[in-house]
Amino acid sequence: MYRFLIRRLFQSAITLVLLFTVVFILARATGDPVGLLVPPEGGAETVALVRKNLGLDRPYHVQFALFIKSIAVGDLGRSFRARRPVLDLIAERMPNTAILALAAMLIGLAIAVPLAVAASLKRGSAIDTTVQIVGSLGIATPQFWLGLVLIQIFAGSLNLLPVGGASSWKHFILPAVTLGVFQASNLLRVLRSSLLEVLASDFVLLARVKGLPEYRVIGSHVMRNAILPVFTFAGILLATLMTGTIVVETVFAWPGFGRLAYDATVYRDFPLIQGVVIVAGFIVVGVNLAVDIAYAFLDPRIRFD
Amino acid sequence: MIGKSFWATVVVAFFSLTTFQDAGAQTAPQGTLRFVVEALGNETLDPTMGPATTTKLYLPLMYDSLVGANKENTDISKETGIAKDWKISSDGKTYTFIIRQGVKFQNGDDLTAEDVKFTFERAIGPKAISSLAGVLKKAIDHITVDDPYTVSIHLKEPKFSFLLDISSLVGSESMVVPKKYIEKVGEDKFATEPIGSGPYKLKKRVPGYSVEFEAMPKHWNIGVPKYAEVQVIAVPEQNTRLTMLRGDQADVISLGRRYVKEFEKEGYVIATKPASHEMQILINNQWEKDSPLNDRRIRQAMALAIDSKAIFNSLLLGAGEMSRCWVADVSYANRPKGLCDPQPYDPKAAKQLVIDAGYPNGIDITYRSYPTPGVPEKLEVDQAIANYLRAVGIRAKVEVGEYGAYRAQWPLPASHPKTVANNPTVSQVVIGSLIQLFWGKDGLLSTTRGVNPKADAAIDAMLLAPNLDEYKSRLMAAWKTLLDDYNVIMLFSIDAKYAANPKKVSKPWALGTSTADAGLRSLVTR
Repeated sequence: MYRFLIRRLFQSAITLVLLFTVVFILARATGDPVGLLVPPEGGAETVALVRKNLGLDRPYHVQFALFIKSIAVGDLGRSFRARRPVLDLIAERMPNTAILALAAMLIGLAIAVPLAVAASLKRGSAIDTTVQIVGSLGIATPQFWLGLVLIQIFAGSLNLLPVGGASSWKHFILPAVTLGVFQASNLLRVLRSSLLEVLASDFVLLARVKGLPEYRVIGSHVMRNAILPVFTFAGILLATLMTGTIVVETVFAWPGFGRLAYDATVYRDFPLIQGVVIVAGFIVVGVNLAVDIAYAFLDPRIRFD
Repeated sequence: MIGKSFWATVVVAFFSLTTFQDAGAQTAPQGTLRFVVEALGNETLDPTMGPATTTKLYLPLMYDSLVGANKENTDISKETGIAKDWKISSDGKTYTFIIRQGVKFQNGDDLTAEDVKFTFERAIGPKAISSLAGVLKKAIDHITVDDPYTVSIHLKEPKFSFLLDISSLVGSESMVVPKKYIEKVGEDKFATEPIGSGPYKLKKRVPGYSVEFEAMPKHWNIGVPKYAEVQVIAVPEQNTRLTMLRGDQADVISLGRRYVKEFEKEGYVIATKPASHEMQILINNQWEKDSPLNDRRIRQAMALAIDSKAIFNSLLLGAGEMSRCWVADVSYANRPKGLCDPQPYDPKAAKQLVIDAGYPNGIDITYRSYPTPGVPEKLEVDQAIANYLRAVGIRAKVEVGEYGAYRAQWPLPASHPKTVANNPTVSQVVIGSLIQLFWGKDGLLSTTRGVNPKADAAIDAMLLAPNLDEYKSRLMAAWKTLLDDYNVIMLFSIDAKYAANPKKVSKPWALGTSTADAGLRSLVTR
């Protein structure tokens, strides 16, 4: 177990170092940010001054060395546009995205689990067909469109819910549902497949033959085995939600991490691009590591050798 | 026994008190104004830490500029700035400002000449990244405080546009910041907890969403502000903004031109910001001898090929002005007759010009198209222009990209041969520097690079003008040389629109001349 942990941590560290290098290079490959920071009326003088102020007049290898040095001490630099520490900017936005991501996942699971169980138990029936169609529609429906429709109905016509911002629990509902529908559709398909596979197992047949009530068969035996692949998939979905829900954040004016990342990219804000990618990298690597470790506890058959 | 005189006194006193109370209640700031726009830019709260496209939107609520503007926002004024008067030395190099006494920052500190000196030294300091930081750094030699309410700015060379450059019409560099407070709390804290001398102070920031202000009891210039709170909110999606206004979750929104009629019918107040953008076609590589764009006939053909009136009416719904001049610029106050008339449309003549230029089979060019904030119709306009050009044998291949990518290539002329681009530029108060930038021989982004010696000489003369009146007339002369030679194809100016809830905003307000300026200061003034 410890060998596995050490090996995984080492792999994660290598991944992150490669990520730092790639993001440094790719950020600069997007072009010169000074032209976007200084409007034309600023002239050559302001361009030169700003370039110097931002350290962009230094050679690339010097910039890279400073970048690695600052990461080593936990400093992700200052945003070119906001002129504030990148970590502060991320810390301000990340909680909004984290809460939204968790809410979306909970909604997704709340919808997906009962529907998947119903569909798998009644395979081939009208319920099963309906659930599959609903799942496909959920994946095919653009989140952008769904968000706008929900806004129009619940914030516009019915005036029941607010739109824009994140200042109260009511602000969570529409964006969380928009995201949750998509998560539910994805989870539904994976869980249904997994349930069907497990339901066909010999131990489930044995459990039924032994006379166990159906709820115990499903709850204690089937779900525990069927949930494993879904657990991995949910981890990936959660990492994706945490690191980029730009479309939904734009539609709902949600002050989250996704929009921060988008603005950073559009404005070639190198420190902020590097910062959001590094943080996103840590999140993805961290979630994957957590899922791998949790797997061992969920399934004793898993060995780490 | 209580007599009639007693009761008369009681009655009079009662009505006096209620009247006094009513008067007090009416003059206090009331309610919240929720102003919703597409973006908050870099969300800076520091006048020297962002371009004017950010700082002009909401910082005028918090800060006062050294040199103010008149009500119409068309000229500088001694009534609305921190400087109540100024003198210019005979050599044009020293500007002495008399500071108003009694103006206080929001923490109670007096605003003095020391704060003004500190403000400008900071604006041209090592950390400044505002629009005119470099221009002012180049211009200013040193600053002296003559007495607590007199400050002099000494320039290296005479610069007649200096007052305009530092006024509230143009940038934010002269928004006066508190020296004592910043020295006490430090720059990092000032960035998040700033104070100014304006009618509103910062209440709250929701990063990525809004900046909220609360009214000071009274301001030295505008008196008692109209609203108790102002929230400036960023909602990128147009449909969301429309829903917010209709659902009473917003009071003022920036409005797409295609929705104006609909909202007018519904009874909303529509405010127009004239000439928010000027739409022009930049023609690159004109200086290259072997490029067809070097030939004046080809450039003229391009101009004649485009039916700008049709585009203006059908895609922009007539929201703007058909003019070949930069409309909102103060320098264009006196437009010579005929110069700014709309570009004529003559495709037959255009086709013939292409043939006469030696290209009977037409030419191929690249048309760089990119989205522009505030002009959602831009890509459609570009497609229409490209179609018009193709109709006369100028085969424009449209390359849709992102502004940042195009902007990065701009100073590298070799990287984009035979290229034109529709480049809507934000409205500018003083166009001269932009003329030099885009069409001057040595301009950083020059598209001509000496192809029009007459224009080069006229631009040089313009930059050496001794005073503003002479500058205006030389500017028109320089612009004429560029239009005559078709070094630029100017199509029209585009208005920006705002819609407001009539219960909160009863009539349109003065929106200022700078694109980012949405007239918030005017909105909060009774």
